Amino acid sequence: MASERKKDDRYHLFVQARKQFAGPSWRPSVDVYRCPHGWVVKLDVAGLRPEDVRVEIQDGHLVVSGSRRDMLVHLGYQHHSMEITYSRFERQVALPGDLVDAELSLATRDGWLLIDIRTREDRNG
Amino acid sequence: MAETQIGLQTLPILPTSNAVLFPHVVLPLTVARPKSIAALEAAMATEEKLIGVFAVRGGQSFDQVQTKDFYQVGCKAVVRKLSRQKDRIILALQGLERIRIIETLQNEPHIAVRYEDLPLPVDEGAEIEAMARTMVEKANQIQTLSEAKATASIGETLAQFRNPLERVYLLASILSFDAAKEQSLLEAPTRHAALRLMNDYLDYEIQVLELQNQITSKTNAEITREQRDYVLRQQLKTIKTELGERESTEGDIELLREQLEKAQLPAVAQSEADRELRRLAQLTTASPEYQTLRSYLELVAELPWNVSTTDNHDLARAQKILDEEHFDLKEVKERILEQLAVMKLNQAAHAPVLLFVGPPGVGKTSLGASVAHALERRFERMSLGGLHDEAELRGHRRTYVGAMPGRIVQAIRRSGVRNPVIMLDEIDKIGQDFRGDPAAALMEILDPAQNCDFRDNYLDLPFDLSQVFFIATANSVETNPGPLLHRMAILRLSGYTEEEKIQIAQRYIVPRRLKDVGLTSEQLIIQSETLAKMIRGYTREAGVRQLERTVGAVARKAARQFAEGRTEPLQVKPGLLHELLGTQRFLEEKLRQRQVPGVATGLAWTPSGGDILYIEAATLPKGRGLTVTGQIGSIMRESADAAVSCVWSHASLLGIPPERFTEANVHIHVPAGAIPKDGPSAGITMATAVASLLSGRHVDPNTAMTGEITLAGLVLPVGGIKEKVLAANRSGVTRVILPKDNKRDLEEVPQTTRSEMDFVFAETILDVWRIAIPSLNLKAPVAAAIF
Repeated sequence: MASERKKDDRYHLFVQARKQFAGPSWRPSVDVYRCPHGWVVKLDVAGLRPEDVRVEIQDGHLVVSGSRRDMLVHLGYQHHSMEITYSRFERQVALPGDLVDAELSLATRDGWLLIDIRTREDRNG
Repeated sequence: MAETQIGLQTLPILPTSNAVLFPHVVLPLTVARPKSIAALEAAMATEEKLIGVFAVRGGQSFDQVQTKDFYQVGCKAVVRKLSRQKDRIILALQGLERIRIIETLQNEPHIAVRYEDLPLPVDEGAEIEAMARTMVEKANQIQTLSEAKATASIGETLAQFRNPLERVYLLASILSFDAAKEQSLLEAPTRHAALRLMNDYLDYEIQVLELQNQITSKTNAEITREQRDYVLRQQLKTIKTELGERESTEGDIELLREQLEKAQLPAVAQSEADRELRRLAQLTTASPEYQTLRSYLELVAELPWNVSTTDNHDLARAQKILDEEHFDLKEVKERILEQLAVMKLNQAAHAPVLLFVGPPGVGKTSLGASVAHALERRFERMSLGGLHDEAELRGHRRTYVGAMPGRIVQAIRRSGVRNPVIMLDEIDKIGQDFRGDPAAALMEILDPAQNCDFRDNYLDLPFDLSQVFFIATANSVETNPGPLLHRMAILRLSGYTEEEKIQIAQRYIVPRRLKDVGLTSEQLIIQSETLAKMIRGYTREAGVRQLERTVGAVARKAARQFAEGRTEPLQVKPGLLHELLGTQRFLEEKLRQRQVPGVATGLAWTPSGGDILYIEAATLPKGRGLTVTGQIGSIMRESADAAVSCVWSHASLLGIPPERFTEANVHIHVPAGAIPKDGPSAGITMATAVASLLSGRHVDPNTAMTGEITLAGLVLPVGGIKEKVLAANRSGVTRVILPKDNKRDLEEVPQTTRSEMDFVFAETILDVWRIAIPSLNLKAPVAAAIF
């Protein structure tokens, strides 16, 4: 019976492993807004320093990548538990509009990262 | 893809003992060793929480681990989650990319190294795609073999990842190979190499699993076979249903239930039957118990618990039937009619148990059938001859294989009513051995006080036998146990006289035999004188079986003549019998007309009727005492002693010198020596033979005698008078000496016979001698001599 149990465990683990399979980086959550002047993409990346983020248009997708670092690493501070994900992240966002020559501007407000997108159509319209 | 700017290229190292962290895979870990915790703390103190994870080579001590103890290729990881427990840290690590150690920076308090990235290979090609697909198939095979209860198929899950390396890494972390194998996958320089290794490992895994299953299936072989049978049976059931065949079990049970309802069982039987029916419903048809239980329930349903026929109580009609079917037997018929009268007046009366006793062939069995006919009851006959197993009567318990109900219950079932006439033939020929005594079982069956709840071992339910009219037959009552006889009303059917036999032959036998061979009474005429000659010369019996065969033989010979072309009627005269039947088989017992002194004619009763027998006595000079021979029993031997002593005590009266008794031995022989004989009824005959011998006077050859003798010379009554007188008459004896007290028995003897003979009723032996030895001059007056 022991061997069967072990087999079962193995596949239980498999189901978990699938959930935990994460790829090379983590993915922050994203809201996408349509607004009068174009698009606004809001990312849940609190604590991200502006110099650690890079925003690009790649193959018609908005690609946001970077690395979130922990600021509380002074001597005498020690994690008792950790749930917030640090280090490298990457997020691709597909938008319905044509992003060629789109104008991007970044802002942070209350910990959110806000990306304003004005496509060519928006500018002309 | 954006390349990270993190370029410190140094990392604290977390050594793992039995797991390899693959890039892009999340690995939960528990860390407890100080050196590992120190490494983790160092990682947590950085902003990016990065740490290097390296597997320790097999066989290396973990506590004093050094850089050289690791594999040199490992994985850079980020700590995704962390939770401190009392003395350990639980964390989740996410593998990021492959790295190689360049140099060790420190060993204490934790290991720290400088490293370089070792990018994942990106080679492509058809072969890689093929190997990736093969890997998925093998993974599926492993899932099947290990009977895993995973919700999703492993193949489908793997298929979601396009990068073959990711498939390899994920599968490796699921299957948890040993560290060396996992490390080899991590280190593989090309995708091609990684996939080839992975396929090898999967092959090995499949082999192990198959072997494992074989071992398991062997140990569970017995259970598996039963399960297999069960599954097959269920499938068969389904197939039958699909084919529209009625499921036999349910049909059977329904049918049985209907039959049981129709049978109107008494409450006790009903509840038992219901219980057994429920049991039956739970059995499969293939179970051996199913058939047993089913035939039991069929029996219960078929038994006539409440079915009976109405008796016909018309006495005149009954008399007519009995007379038509049987000649004479007045006494027995009277008794039967009396019984019918009782049953007419008191219908609740227990049916009687009658015992017909008589020699073979007198019609006991057919009389039983006539009784049933007269009463209009069903008739069932069973022969108990040679029965020696109690279970035959009472049945076997159902626990035995092939158990059956006893003969009584079977007869009731056959008759279909609860009040048949059951004939127990040859009840005197029941055997007895270690299996029990059937006669004892019969006692319960035949006792009206007990048989109202007769319990057959097989049936195991009380069945009321009190309405059954039992008729038993026997050739003699002597061999039956007393208690059994006590339960029965005994009716004796004695042998037929010659006259009766002629009547029977003319009324029943000849017409029946003619019909058998296809002749008419016009074609073949058998005169009564011819029948008489057949009876005397070709048969010797009390009944009429032999006579029937003889008539049959005559009829067949006649039939042949007619078949060969004879036209005129054949009249069988006595003289023709020699031609038809051959020489006479039995010499008519001619009386010995010239007898020597010492021979007297006695009369004997045999199961086949009466017979005459000669008792011979002789003296042997110089011998002493008395010798008795001729297969005689102890009663007859004692009777012989008494007879000799009686003669001795009367010696002076007979004029015999007393010294004759001392100087010579007396030998009495009773022919025929091959037939066992017993009983006291030859007493006076032996006394007469000895008296004749010693006095030297002849016994009258035309006189026969029977009677028991006492030492004092009294003549006591004996049984079987009718048969004995008939035998004497047949043999041509003209005078018969009988005990005085047997005078009333003479009434049984037909008038024709009586008128042909003289009867002398003797009170003492002197009365006998005076008649039997006419030349004897008794010395003193008879009365004065003894009394």
